Amino acid sequence: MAVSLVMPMLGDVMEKGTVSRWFKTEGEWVEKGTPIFEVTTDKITYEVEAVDAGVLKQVTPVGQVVPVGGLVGYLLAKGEPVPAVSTAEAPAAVAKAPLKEPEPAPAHAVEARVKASPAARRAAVEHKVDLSQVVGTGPEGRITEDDVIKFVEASGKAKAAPPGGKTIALTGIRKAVAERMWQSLHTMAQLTIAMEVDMTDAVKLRERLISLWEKAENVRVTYTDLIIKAVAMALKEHPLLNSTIAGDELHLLEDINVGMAVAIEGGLIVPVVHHADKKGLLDIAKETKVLAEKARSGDLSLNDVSRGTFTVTTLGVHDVEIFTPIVNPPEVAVLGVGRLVEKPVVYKGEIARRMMMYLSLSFDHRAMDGVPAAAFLRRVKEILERPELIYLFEKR
Amino acid sequence: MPGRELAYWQAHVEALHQEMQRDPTVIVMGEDVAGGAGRTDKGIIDAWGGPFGTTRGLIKEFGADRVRDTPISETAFIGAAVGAAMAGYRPWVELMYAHFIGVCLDQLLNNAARAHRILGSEHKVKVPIVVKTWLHVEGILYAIFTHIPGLKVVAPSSPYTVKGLLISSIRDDNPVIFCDNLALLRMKGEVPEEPYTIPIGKADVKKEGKDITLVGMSNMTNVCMQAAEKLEKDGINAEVIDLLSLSPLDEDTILASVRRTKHLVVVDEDYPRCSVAKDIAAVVADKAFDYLDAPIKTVNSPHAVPPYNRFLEHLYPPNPEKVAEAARSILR
Repeated sequence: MAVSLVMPMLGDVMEKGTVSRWFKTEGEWVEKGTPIFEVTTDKITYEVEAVDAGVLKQVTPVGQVVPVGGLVGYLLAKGEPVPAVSTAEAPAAVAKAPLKEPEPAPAHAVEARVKASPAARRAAVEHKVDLSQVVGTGPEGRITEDDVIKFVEASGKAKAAPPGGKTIALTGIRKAVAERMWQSLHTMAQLTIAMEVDMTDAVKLRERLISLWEKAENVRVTYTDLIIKAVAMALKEHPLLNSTIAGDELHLLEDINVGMAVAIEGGLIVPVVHHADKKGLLDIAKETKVLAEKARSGDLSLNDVSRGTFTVTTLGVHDVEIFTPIVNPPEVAVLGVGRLVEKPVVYKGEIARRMMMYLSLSFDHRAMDGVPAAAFLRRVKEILERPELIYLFEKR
Repeated sequence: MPGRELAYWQAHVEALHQEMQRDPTVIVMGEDVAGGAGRTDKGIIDAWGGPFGTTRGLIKEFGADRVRDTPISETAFIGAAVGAAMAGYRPWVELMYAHFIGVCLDQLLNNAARAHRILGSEHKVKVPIVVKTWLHVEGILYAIFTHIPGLKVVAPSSPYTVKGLLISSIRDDNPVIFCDNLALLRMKGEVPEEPYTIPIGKADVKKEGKDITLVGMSNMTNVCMQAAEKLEKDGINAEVIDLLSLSPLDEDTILASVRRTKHLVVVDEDYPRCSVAKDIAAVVADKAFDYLDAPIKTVNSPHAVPPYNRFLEHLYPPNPEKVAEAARSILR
C-alpha cells in the first residue's frame, strides 16, 4: 500500500514549505525512521523521517514550494505502481511535528490554492506573475486585479533600476525574512514610540552578576537578558502587548514567550525564551547563550523558534540609538534596543554622567492605542532603572 | 432653463394621450380605465381614469369606443386585446396587478407570444399589444414575464422614462409587458412636452463610477442611486445602470461596465430564485468572468410570500442600506 509523503505542518502559521533536499534517490529503499527529505520554511530547516519503509518515488523536485498537506512523494511496496493522483489516499502525516499534536493537514489542494479573483488571474497570466508572491487586499485576503498591477509596477520599477552592479537573488532565509517583513507592514497598523532609559544601575547590577556567575555558572549575563526579563515582567502586567489578532478578535495569550532576534548569515532568526516570566535571570541568561550559539550554527530546533509572543531586537551594538523595528507576525509588538552610551544628564538636580539607552517599541495600533503601549514601555523603563525590582519579584 | 416637471402618473397620461392622438388604432382597455365614464345615457362624461389616474381624461377626448372598461375577467379582456392586436389595432390593455397573471397566462404565453410562430410568417402577423401592469410588494413577478420568449418587458424608473418607454412600447410591433411600479406614482421629474421614444432593449448608465456596478430596474434604480450616495461617503465610487428593458436584455452595457469596475451588485425587488438579478449574474459570470474581482452579489426580496403586516412589508424589499452593505461586502 502506497504511503503518501506530504508537506508537514511545522507551526501555527506555516502555509507552505520548500523541499530543499532529498536524502534518498529515486527508487531507493527507505527504512522506517530514516530522514527522507528536508523542508525549509521561513523559520527553520527540518528533516522529515519516514514513518514506514518503502521504495521512494519523488514527486516534487528540489527547490519547489509545496503547500502544507501537498504531495511530495510516495513510499511504495516493492513492484507497486505509482498511484494515480486522484485515487491517492488522504496524505498520511509523515512528519512527527515535535511541538504540538499533529493538526489534520489540509488534505485538498484546493484549500492551498491562492485566493485570487478571476480578474487577478487573467492579469497574472498577462503579466506572467506568480500569484503566490502577491499579497491580496480584497475581502478574505483575495488577490484583486489591482494587487497584481501594483505588484507588476513595483517589480517593474525594481527591474528598471540602472543595469550594472551586482544582482543578489533573494533566496532561502533572506527571502523568508523579506516576505515576512513586507507582509507585516502590509497587514498591520504599525507605529513606533521611544523612551530613554537610565541604565546606570542596570550596568552595575550586570557587573555584579557577571562577577557572581561567570565562573560559577559559566555564563555572562547580557543586557538582552536583563531586558528580556524586564519585558516578561511588564508583559504580565500589560497583557494587551502579549496578544495576537485573529480576524475580528484579539486573543490575550496565556504564555509569555519572548523571542530575541539574532543576526545570522544572510538573515535574521528569532529563537524564543519560553515562559520567560516564570524563569529567573540566571536561567534566562543560560538559555539565551545556548539559543544564540544554536542560531549561529544552524542547530535551532522547531521548538526553539516557535510560539513567540513578543520579540526583542537589538541594534545598539551597531551604534543605533532609535529605530522602528517591524512587528514579527502574529505578534502585536516588538521592542528595539538602542545603544548604551554614557551621557551628561540632569540627575538629582546635577549634571551627571549616566549610562543612557533608548528603547523603541513598535506595536500594532489595531490591537491597542498609544497610551497602553506607553504604559508598558514605561514599566520596562522603570524595571531597568530600578533593577532590584527584578529580584523583588523573583520567585526563587 | 430647467424643463417642465411632471409626476410619474401625469407623464404616463400624457404619453397615452399623445399616442392616441397620433394613431387612431391605439385603444385602451381594462378594469376601470374609464371608471364608468362614457355612459352618456347616465350623464357620466369623465371620471377618475383607473385606480391610479393614469387614464384620466382619455375618454372625454377619445370616446368610449377607444377607451373601454372591461368586465372583471382578465382571461376575457386580455384575450380580446390580443385578438384586436392581431386584427390591426394597437391595444394598451391594463392587467391591473401583476399577480393577476394567473388567470391570463394562457393569453400571454400561448397566444400573444406565439402568434407569429403558430400562424406563420406568410401572414405577416403582428401583435402590437402592450399589457400594462402595476407592480407592488404583493407580486413583482418580472421573472415570469421575462422568462417567456416572444414578450418584451420594460420597466421605467422615472417620469421621463415612463413617457419615452410607453411611446416606444405602443409603437413596437411585438407584445410588450409594461411594468409600472406603484412606488413611483408620485415621483416628480423633468418631462419634455413633445413625444419622444426610449429604445427598448437599451439600458441607461444613470451615474458613472469606477469601483462597482449597481444594476437596478424600475424603482430599484432609485434605490441604487441612494445606495451609491451612501457608498460615496465611504469613498466608494459606484456606477448605476438603469436596466429599463428586462427583455431583451442589454448585455453589452452591463458587461462593459463590469469590465471596468470588476464588481457587480444587481438589485431586483422580485423573489430571488430564477430572478432577473440571478439571470444577469449568470450572464456576467459567463461573459465577464475574467474581469471579476469579487463574487457577484444580488439583492432581492426574500424568497418568501410577501408579509401582510405593514412593518414587515416595509422590511421586505431591497433598500439602500441592504444594497450598500452588499457592495461593501465585496469591496471590503
